[in-house]
Amino acid sequence: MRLDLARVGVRYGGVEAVRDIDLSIAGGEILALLGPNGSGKTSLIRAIAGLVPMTGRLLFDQRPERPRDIGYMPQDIATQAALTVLEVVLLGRFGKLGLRVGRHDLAAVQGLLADLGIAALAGRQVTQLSGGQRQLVFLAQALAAHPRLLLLDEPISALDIRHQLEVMEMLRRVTRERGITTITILHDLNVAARFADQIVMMRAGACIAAGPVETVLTPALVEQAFEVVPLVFRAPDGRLLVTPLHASPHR
Amino acid sequence: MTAAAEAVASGYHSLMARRVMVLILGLAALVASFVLDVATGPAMLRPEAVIRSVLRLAEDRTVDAIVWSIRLPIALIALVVGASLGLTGATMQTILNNPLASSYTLGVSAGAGFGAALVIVFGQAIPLPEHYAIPVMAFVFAGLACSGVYAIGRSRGATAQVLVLAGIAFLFLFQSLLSLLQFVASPEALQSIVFWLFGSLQKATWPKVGIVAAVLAGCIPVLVVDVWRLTALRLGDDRARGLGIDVRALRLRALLVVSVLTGAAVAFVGTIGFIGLVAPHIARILVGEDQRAFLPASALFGALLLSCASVASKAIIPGAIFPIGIVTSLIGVPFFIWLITSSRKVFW
Repeated sequence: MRLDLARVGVRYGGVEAVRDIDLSIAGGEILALLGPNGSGKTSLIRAIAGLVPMTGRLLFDQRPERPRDIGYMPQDIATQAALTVLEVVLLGRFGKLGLRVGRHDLAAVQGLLADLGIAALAGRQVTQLSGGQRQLVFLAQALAAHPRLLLLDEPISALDIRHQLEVMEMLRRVTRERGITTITILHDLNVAARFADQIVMMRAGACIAAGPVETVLTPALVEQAFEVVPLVFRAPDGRLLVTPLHASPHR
Repeated sequence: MTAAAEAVASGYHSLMARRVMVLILGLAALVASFVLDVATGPAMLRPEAVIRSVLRLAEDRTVDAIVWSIRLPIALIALVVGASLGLTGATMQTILNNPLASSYTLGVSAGAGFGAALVIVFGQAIPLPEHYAIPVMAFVFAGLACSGVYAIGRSRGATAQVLVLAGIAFLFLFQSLLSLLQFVASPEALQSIVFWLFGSLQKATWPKVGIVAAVLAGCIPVLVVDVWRLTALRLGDDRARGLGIDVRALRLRALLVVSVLTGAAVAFVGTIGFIGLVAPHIARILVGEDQRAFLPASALFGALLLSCASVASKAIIPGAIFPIGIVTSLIGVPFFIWLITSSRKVFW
């Protein structure tokens, strides 16, 4: 699915959380939203999901109607629901579920659980899981309906580095294979550098840079966004790496 | 299908089988309690005589008269009112994301109590016999309390927090109005109000059973349509909305069902506390919160609790009948405390 944003803004009362965001992303691509805390990343992703009122224009495959097949994973993974992992993931297919859960639904969910390495947790209560396990469960839920647009708010923030790697590789594979448009908020610049096709760097509600990884993850732009002086260098395999050195003297 | 897929599928099917088993056992306990309820009273009947009379297997005029004219309506109204209260409690705990929610939380029962007291104190001004006017006004004021909460919810976004706060405001409003009525009431009227507020199944008749059962039967399909939406709502508003659910409309729709069900349930038997709070907790421990199992289990355990309370109300002092509202609280409170302090493990 192709997604186009034109002058998108979000306002909470008198506070302008997001202003004048323009971006375009094609199917099969991952776009990473980067920026410091409070820069408007979550508000932007919630506006795209239709969860907060917005100004500006959103086009899904050139059409203004928001499609139903959007997979959304919020940042908050806390829950008190007395449900099993399988039931939580099944809910991702909510529009397709009848009173009796069919073999097809179960098969689809089990495939996802296996892909994310959590098939063994299927019968566990979701409240008994660790934060990282819960994050994987809600990611599976977002993927369960085979969405064409995937909106992820910090999907790997609670995961260990092996799971971060596996999840991002899985997301890239799914995004490419199914032609999904994936927009994800990330805090790890190196993960973004490795897996994103495009990066949008935000600060104070505005986009300060957008484009391919090399054009956005420059020392100057990283310093402008995060107020740290970074070391940006290439690993032996050519991958871009970013390490913060110290707080910016221009704060 | 791979071995892992089969393990997931068989795990799911065994979970569903456990839930069905809980419902079957609950139903068996309900049948036993129902028979005991019909058998218990000033003239004790043998359970097999009750079963024969109910199934019309044998004719014994005395037993039939006791069973069909007096005890069956009482035992049946305990079932339908208990199921209604269990269902409303479960729905409210889900839509308000609050384990303390029940008909009391939204002031619905307090509204019904005020409506009934209004008739008792100013009955002569209402052109209806008192035994009709009390349930009608109790239903109307339960509906008014819910409509007030609904109106505030509509104007302020219908979040769980807004609805709970609005409900508590109406609870205090109707309790204050009820206190005012008690203050101005004659000693006889005051006694009638207090007796109504205690709750009683003894004035049950076949038409009353029919009305509550019809309302219950009418509300169930409305909730069945929303079972997956309600289950998704347990994961929070944001996630439910992310799944494409109109959370505001869902809450308001469920609130309407709760209002009608509570109004019908309390109109004929008075304000029976505790069932709506405790039945969903038992259901949650035994079957979890997949609403396909949670809602029927809450209704089932609501019916079972009220039926058992009905038996207890007749058994505490032989020959006398304790007000059912007092019995549900006296038995229910210690049971509930045991439930929330001891059940760290869940069955499902």
